[in-house]
Order: sequence, then C-alpha cells, then structure tokens
Amino acid sequence: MKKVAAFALALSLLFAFAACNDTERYVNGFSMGSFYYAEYRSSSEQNERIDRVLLSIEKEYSVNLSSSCLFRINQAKAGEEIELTEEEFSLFSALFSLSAKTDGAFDPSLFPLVKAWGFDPPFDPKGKVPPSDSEILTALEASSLSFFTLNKETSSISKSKDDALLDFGASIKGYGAEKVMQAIEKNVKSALINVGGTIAAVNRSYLVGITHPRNDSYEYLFSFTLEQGEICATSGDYERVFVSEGVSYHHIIDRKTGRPSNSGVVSATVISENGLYADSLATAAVVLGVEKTVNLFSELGVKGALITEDKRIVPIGLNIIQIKDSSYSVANDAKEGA
Amino acid sequence: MSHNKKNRKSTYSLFRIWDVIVIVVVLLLVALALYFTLSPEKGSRAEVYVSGEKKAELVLSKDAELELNGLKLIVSGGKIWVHSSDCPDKICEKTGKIYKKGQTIVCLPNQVIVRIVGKGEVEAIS
Ligand SMILES: [Zn+2]
Repeated sequence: MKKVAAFALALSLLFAFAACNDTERYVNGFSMGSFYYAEYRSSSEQNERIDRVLLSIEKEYSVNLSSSCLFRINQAKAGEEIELTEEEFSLFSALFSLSAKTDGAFDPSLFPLVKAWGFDPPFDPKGKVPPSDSEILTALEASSLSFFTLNKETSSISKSKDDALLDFGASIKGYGAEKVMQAIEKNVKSALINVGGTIAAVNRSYLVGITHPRNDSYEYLFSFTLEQGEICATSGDYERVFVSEGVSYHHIIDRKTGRPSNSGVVSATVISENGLYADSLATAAVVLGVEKTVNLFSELGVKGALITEDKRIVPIGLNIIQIKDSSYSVANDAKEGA
Repeated sequence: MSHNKKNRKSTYSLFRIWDVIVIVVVLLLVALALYFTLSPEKGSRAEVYVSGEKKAELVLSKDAELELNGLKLIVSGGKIWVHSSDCPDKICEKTGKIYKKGQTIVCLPNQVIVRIVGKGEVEAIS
C-alpha cells in the first residue's frame, strides 16, 4: 500500500512539474506585408528568435526595402550583375524551377503585371480601376522569367530587360513559416506558427479550419488535421479584391490572359513539409483549375484541397474532417477518381 | 485471548484508514494537476495587440467598447468585432464577429491583432 502511495505521489509531482515547466506562450507582429503569430509551449521564451527570423526575411526579400536583394534586382539595369548570398541563390533557384513545374501558373516574374493591376504592396482597393488592354499587354511583355539569368559561379543574378521585375510575395510566407519552424523546433514542446494564414505545425498535429471563400459569417468552411512538421497555405480569389463599376477583381493573375484567374477554383489549400511549395502552389492551383492541379500535386507529392465556384470541395490526398456549410459537398477524392 | 485478537484487529484497520486517506489525497492532487495541465481555459477573452504589444484584454461575457489605434472595437453577446477603422482596406471590419479560439482580426495598416483565448473547434485558420 505504501509503495502505491509513494508512486502516486511521485506521479502527481511529475505532472505538477510538467505543468509548470512548459508554459503556454504567444508572440505576434507584422512582417512581409502580413501579420504573424506563434502559439507555443516551451520552458524558454522564443519570441525574439521568431521575430528575428521573420524580420530578416522581410529585410532580404521585400520589394519595398532598399536592403532587399529583390529591390536591387528590380532597380537594376539590363546586364547588371546583382550578387546573392548562398541562401538567396538557392531560394531563387528553387522558385525558378518550381515556376517551370507549374507551367508559369506560379510565376515570381509576373510583378510588372501585378503592379499594372495595383496589387503590389501595400494594397489599397479604394478607387482602383482595372488597367487598359494595352497596359496589360505592355506589362505582360515585361513579365517573364526568361529575362533573368542565375549565375552559379559568381552567385549572382542579372536580367536582360530593364523593366523585368521579381516579387516573392506568393511564396515568402511559406518560406518564413518553415524558417521559424526550423529555428524553434528543438526548443519548444509544440508550436503553431501562423504567417499571414500560412500555418506550420511544430512537434504536434493541429486542427486547422479553411476560410469560407464566399461567406464571412462562417468561422471556417471545413477542417482537417495538419500533421506535425507540415505547413499549409491557402490562396483564394476573396483576398485582395477591388470593385470597379460593379465588377470585382482579385489578385491572382493568370499570365495566359493577363487578368485575374477564372479557372473555377476559388480557393486552394496546399500542405507540404516544404513551405515554399505550400505557399507557391496554392497560388498556382487557383490559376490551374481542378484537373491540372490534381495531376501537378500528385507529381510533386503534396496534399491539399480545392474549393470550386460550384460549391465543391475537392480533397487531394487529404482527409476532410468537418464541413460547416451544408450547401458545399465533398467531391470524391480526386486522386482516386483520376 | 479474545481481548488480544480484538486489539490487533483495531490497529490493523487504523493503518488501513490512513493508507486510504493518503491515497485519496494523492489521487486528488493528481486529478488537480491533470486538470490544470489538460483543461481548456474557461471564459473566453479577447486580447488586443498593437505592433506585437498587448494593449488590452477583454472578457467576451461582458459588453464593452474600446477605441485603440484608429479602431473602434465592440464586445457584445459574447463576440468581438471592429465596428469602424480609419484604415484604407477595411479588412478588419469585413472580418466580422469572432468568438472562438483560433480566430483573429488583423488590421495590417494599423498593426492591430485581436486574438481569442479560450475554447475553439479548430486551432488556427488558413
Ligand atoms: Zn483595418
């Protein structure tokens, strides 16, 4: 009997100790044109580390800060060599090759077109009007990755057209979420990192809800489990929208038309352990539409779910847990159907 | 002989009572520790941050109004929302009423984040 009592006492002390040791912590801030926050359990505070990672990424890749390599490239004249750090160089290479895999549906060189539409940061929808056909055409002519050359020997980049511009806005939140995960995963018991809606699950799984694309009054449209080590990103035609003469224009531009995409996919969620993939492919999926996205995802080994204009939820290797709006229905798992 | 037997029996049962008391107390401690470790927080609250710094904490069960950094926040009926804001995009106003853990209101231009602390169905929204 006494042994049992002693064991129970030890157990209770252990629980009490565990409860005191790992404190629930929270940090938030603003970087890369969006908010970020992290909720984490840890015996030590990681706020500064998290802030530092995200602020340094902003300094390096913001199109508006003179400290950024993108700013320097965008300002550069044709033929000018811009030196890149090793890390910058590998990020550029990764994004350029990812863009090729999506057949330009995700394209960091669309920035002239994004600017023509006025979706460059900081975005202000007030009084916006769509660009004219000739403005779109001119911007399209400057929007191509083929104007950029990466030089491995000199670790540099140059461009062959003065007004060719780069912007990593569609990828950088995923990159940031992954960098924060790497920076803190050894120091926390668990953490949820949210960089402008791109979420990383560190050391445990989290239940995540996806924004209803058409009705703000729903807390979310559907939920799923984001497994430990995964990052999920969502892009939708409901974000960054302006209305002109009763027509609304969203920020995801299709390079084939030079206009906001109209593929039938209104929201795309991508899940991957690679944050760059998750973020960039979410944009690509909205442009590509259901069929091409299903093929691309299986090719690249990522999971996700699409929401279509006609109220279907198309899971791609993902288990949908709950749907809040009963007017939406789950289409058969596209992977099995294909 | 009968006296001796009776005496032994009563000390034995005394020991048992103390054992039981100790075990009950310890189990209560374990239950308490478990409760504090695992139980979700009871009343939902909203925390309001400006540029990463906590500026206010509001209990959702109590109606209130708060003006902060260009935003007018209202708490009513267990929910919180941005009634009006001087920001250009008004995304914070369009976010609507929030009340569950995992939901946030963000005003990018004014660097304000409203966060719910308490119970929720999902832990974050993408
Ligand atoms: Zn606002």
